[in-house]
Amino acid sequence: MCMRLISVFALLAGAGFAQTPGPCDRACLEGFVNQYLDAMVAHDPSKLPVTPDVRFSEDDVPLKLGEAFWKTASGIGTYKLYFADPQAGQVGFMGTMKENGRGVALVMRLKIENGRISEAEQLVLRNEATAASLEKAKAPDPILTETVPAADRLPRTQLIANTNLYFEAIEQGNGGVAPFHPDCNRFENGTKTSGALGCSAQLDTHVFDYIQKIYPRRFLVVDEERQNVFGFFMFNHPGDITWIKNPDGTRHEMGAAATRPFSVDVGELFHIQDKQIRKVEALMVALPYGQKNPFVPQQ
Amino acid sequence: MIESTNMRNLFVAGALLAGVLLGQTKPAPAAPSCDRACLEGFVNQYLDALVAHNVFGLPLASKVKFSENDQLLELGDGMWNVTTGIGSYKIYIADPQSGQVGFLGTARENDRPVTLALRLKIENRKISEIETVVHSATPATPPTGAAAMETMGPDPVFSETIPRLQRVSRDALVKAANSYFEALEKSDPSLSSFDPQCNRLENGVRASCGEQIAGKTLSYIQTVYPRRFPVVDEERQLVFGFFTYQIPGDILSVESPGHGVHKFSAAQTAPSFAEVPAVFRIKSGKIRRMESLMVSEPYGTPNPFFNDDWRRPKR
Repeated sequence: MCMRLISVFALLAGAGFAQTPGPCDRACLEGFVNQYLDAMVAHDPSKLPVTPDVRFSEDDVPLKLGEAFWKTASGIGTYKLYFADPQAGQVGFMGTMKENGRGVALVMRLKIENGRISEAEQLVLRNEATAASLEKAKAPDPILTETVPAADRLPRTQLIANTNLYFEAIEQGNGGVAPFHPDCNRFENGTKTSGALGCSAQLDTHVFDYIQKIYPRRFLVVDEERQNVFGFFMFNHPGDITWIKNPDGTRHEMGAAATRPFSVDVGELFHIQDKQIRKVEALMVALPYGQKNPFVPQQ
Repeated sequence: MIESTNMRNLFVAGALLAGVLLGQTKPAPAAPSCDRACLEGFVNQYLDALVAHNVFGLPLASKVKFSENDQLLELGDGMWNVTTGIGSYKIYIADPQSGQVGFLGTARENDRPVTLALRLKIENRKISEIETVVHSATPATPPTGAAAMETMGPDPVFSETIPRLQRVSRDALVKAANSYFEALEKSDPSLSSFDPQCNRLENGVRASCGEQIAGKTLSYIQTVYPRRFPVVDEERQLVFGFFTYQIPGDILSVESPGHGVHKFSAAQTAPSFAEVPAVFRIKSGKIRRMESLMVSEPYGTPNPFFNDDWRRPKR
């Protein structure tokens, strides 16, 4: 009788724990990423702690865990950048991996609910040069991994609001719309792309006018301690702006790649410093024009 | 015994596909029938509207479904923003019975040559479905894609009216076209029936029919599904459809008979789908010519006109 009581008590305690586990902090969230990467390389999602209705997408296509990169991942690379949001229960990662022995870049996020993965969203950038470039850097820019003193932090809502202005500035071709830090730089697919002009003045030249609509904009991981914001952002390029007028009146031709319809999903990380956008790091994958994101019900 | 069972299964699959996909289970709507000239007229009207960037004036059903490279878009978006001309390469496939018409041809996208595959469904003399695939070839020497196709011109076998007695039935046409994909999936050309003169054109590049399949160099394409055969041109013995090549990317090499180990390329060993619109010319029940486009898409991209799961049920 006594044993039975103890068993029931243990069962109840166990059930109670499963429903309300302790909060998943940075180490816990990063642990989920590592477990996920290991499982991908093992081509085996069966031991991952996932919710019964876990959702998975790769390159914006909803799939079953175990499909696509899960079949071809052959190793974990050396470039690893994590961003953690214990409050939202979300964690993101940018890094290098191997696919059938070739270098690729991976950008992903996991949503953790009650100690289980309920959402896994990833883009795989199948470009060996990008992977090589990231690994050549040895480690992420330290400003992306430093803890910012509490007194110098912006609250979550302000971090998101300031980041959102980046996309407004691109759409409007006006660097003044966003709060850019004087030292801001931007890396895309492992290469510095903010040029000699820098983040703000580069937008004023209108060279990005072919990016006509950035939607949906999904701010998913807000790392308050490090003042980083991460999300997935769909850049839509209808392809019908074929040239722009330079400030000196000459024509700037947009080139073939920018003058055909296509969309690009961008996994993008922003570091906010002194209330301004200090650094942008992005991995982007070209997709068919009009590609919908499976985590956004109406687009 | 096994072979005959397989053949029977194949035949059943073909007949089933023909029945389901050609909409034979539903009676045709009561409206004046749209013959070849009428159907081709819809294609021309559509192409003219595309170049004019103007959907107004097109005879559209109240609900129109439009896709480009498997993405559902609003009519007027996508290629409609950038088409600057129609090219000289034109193959029409007309199916008055199903009220559908196909087109494989060239166009200009901001003045650059592209290839376009188009299917229109006409109901009560209005367009109710528009399915398009656009392919832009990377500039190359010698040119491929649309530029190469315009140099060659369409093969006359696509525009011949075949005497009635030499025609095979709709079901046989679909079965013959379907057999290509059976052979492709199993790397076994004997599963298909090729005319001795059979040849292919893929994205404007000449290719063989049975030889590549026998060499197993296409076996990175593990599954061809869904296979949709919506347009059957009985007079010209043509079949036009859309086919999804599934490339999981997990087969790295193959033993090619007589050639040793064949290693697959990086693109063939990374997960992807390819949407393949194709037109087949069937001669006496055998494949005489196949022309297709092949547009790469993210792995798992569903076709918006196919309502079931792209993961084929076990058979």
